[in-house]
Amino acid sequence: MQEASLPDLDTYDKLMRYQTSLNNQLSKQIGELVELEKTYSK
Amino acid sequence: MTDNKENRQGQGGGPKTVLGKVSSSKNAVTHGATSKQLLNADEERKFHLTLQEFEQNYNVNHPLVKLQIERIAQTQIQLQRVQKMMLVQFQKSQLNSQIDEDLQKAMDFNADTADLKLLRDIDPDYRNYDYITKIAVEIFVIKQQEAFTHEDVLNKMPQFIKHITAEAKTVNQDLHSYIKSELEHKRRLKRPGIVLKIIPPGHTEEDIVPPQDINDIVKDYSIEDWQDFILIKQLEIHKAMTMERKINDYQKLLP
Repeated sequence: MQEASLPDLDTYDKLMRYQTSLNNQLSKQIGELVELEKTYSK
Repeated sequence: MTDNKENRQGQGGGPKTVLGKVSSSKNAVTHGATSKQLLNADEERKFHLTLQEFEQNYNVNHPLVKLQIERIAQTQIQLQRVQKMMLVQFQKSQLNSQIDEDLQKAMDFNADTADLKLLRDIDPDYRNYDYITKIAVEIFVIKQQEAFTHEDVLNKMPQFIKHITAEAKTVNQDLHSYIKSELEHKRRLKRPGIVLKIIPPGHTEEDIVPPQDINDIVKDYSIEDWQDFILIKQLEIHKAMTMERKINDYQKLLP
């Protein structure tokens, strides 16, 4: 019965990896925005 | 159907109308999780809301800053989408689990049937229903005969012999000892306290080495023993068939 309550692990694994990649991408983009802001607000 | 050059696959076919083009543009979209496009009105609303929030706090006069804010808003939408999909995956599996449980309850699954279902789900080598049916047919055929002989057991029940040999292996016994213990167990249940052991004169129990050859094993037991043993296995097989049938019905009913 417990097995049935687990999501499809293969799909879930892909989604997790995609989430991690997007999180990294977002952090990088925010860092770049802060840099751009510093550069062009002078 | 008319066949002309224009309609052939990869030779100028494809959608001609606006509606067809819009529709075919979504052909490759499976779940859309990785799409960089905004997939619906809700995502568009969130995208513009995020843009507004950033624009209030950053100098958007420079095109590079503006472009970067748009990229961030887009990534955020993708991130929210993937998080939503993970949640949906969990909710879906929880719902399936609930349906599973309710259906098993409604079909009066006992612990054995639930275990067998689990075994069927997880064991790729699980022998299927056909295998049990073949043994059941052999038993049915031999029981149709008024009297059967040792040769009948040997020649007309290959699946049955194979099955009991495998069963003996699973309990770490040789076939002879397995048949003996099954018969003793059944007879003990029938007449508690009485276990008959026939030891030839001049021998102790330890002296007797059980035969290894299948012909000798079969002939070492009387026809009455075989009748009893086949009955024990017939009841077990009947039980297994009932469980298998129940699981098959259950799987047909699953959404």
